[in-house]
Amino acid sequence: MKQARRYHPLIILFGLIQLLRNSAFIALFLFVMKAGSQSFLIVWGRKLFLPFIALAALYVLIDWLSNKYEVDGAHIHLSKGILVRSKRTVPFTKVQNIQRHTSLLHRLFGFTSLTFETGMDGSESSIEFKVISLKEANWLEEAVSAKTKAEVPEVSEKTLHFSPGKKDLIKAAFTSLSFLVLLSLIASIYTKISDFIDLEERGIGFLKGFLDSWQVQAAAIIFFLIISILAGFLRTFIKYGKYEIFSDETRIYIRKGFLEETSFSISKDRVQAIEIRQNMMKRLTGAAEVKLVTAGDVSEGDEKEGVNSLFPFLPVDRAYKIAEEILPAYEILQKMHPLPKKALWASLLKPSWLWILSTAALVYFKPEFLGIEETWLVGSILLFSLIVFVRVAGYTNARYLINGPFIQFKTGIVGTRLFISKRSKIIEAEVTATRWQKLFGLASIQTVNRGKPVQHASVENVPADVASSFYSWYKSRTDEVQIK
Amino acid sequence: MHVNIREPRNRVSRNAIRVWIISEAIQNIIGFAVLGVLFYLDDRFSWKEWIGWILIILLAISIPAAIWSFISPYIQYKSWRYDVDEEYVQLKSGVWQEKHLLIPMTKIQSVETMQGPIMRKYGLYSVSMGTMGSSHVIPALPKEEAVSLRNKIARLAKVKEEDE
Repeated sequence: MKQARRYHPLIILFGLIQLLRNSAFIALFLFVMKAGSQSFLIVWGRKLFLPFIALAALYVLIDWLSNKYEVDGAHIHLSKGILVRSKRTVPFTKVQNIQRHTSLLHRLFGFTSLTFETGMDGSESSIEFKVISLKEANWLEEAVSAKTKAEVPEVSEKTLHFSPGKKDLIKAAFTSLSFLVLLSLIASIYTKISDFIDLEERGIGFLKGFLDSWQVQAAAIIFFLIISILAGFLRTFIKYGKYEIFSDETRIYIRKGFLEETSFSISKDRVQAIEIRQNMMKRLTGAAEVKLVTAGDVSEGDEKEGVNSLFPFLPVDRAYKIAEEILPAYEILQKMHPLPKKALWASLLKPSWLWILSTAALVYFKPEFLGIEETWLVGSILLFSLIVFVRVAGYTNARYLINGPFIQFKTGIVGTRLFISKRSKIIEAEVTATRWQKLFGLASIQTVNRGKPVQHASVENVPADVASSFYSWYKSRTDEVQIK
Repeated sequence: MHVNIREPRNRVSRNAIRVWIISEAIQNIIGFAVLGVLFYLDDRFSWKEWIGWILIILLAISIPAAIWSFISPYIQYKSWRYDVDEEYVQLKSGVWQEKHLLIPMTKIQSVETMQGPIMRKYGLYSVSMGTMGSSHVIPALPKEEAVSLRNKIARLAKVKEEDE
């Protein structure tokens, strides 16, 4: 048991640095860019700027003074507030997953940040230690994770399951189209600068004269291509270079990041489901992304891939193998049932309201594109083909399998998503049959799992008897569920 | 070949039909009133021609929809079934789409009874259950039934599974 205490005082410094970073642009705007402006707003803005910064800095200090935490054998207690005081107690057993993020600033001081996710609704679903010493973070993580384990853990060795080699990284760089990154970066810088300076006149005009000869043009293009590829590689290496998936008896650990380090750990029995995703590029290169679906939040700033992602560019076979290795309680079969032929008919013959209404609108308005009178016909045919493509692809990609206590759903049109869960982790099951589906003897099945956001997985147009057996399959979950 | 799932046994109150019809009627009256105002404005300020067409289409859709809204409560009543035992809540409903839902009792987080003004007139309550993922409603049960169902679910849902 530890005494109630404040967070590490370094949090004040971090708070101040963040404040400076956030207000830097406003300062730049008020004092440099609009330096000569006498407008009412700007003048007052300048007068109020420093007092505002002083107040905000004072707030950072008071915030540190008024926040305390306390850890006993099974709970974390948090108290905060000056005028309105609030206390919160979170039992270790409610923690779903643990995240650490070590920014460059953290590294400079030998600190880190630690977040416990509880997976509850609302804004207070996590406990965050913004600045915490490595020693204390290790101690806290140990204390909390020991309590969330189902059994008392034996000291077990961590095994490394995957860490990308050069080949994996090169493949990742191409699959993620990373060489386009430079292009988008330049475009965004260009638009930002051109807000202030007329680039067309100053820079580009000069370049245009320069680029007149084709030799120079070719050289420029080749140079640019090389730079883009290098930049892409650099970015991929920084992002995925140091990627490690570990596991021990009871927990899974994912660590990544070259400059800034992020790590994620979850108890194996807290994994709600496994998701294997492939977008079009990944399908072409035979790569896949495996995600562990957890009840706690896993978003990582504005990054698209959450911290719960095992390396996003795993070779497909390896992806399945690693998933089974780190979660021995799961069995994933690659061979699944396709939908019956009649499902294709049911989906193709179903009237498309979208097409009917769009065509009606096109016929009525008869819009002309590039002066072509038959635009409405072309538009209608294009939409029709698109709808047929979506339906055929949806039929071709769909797979399902019920395998002992596991269920696998695969769906998708251009990209695919394979969702694998256990009967005991599914919180709702649903069977639906529209009148149209009934004509063909088909139905849809859906599962709901915990997650942030809640995970819905479904397959449409499975045979009706499969739907019935899915229902009774879920009903027999009581056989394997242990009740407290 | 149809979905072969044993239907839950319990039905909702027969008065549900009236409640639904009354509330549909109110909605229809409001809807037609709005449409009427739009037609008037269209005529008065001579709006563009296509707006008139859209209004006519809306009217053409609204009339059968209004008639249907007097029929569908009967079918809806017929299709609604629920069952609550120690392990599961089973719900079955749907007019156009038959829907079977199975929720384990251990996954239910909250349960409440609710009553709107029309339901009050008939002494009916709806029972709404929340899981970690969503919430589900059994509409229109007589007061005693609703309250005892709510209490029963509350009592049974207290049990939690090992790994939560």
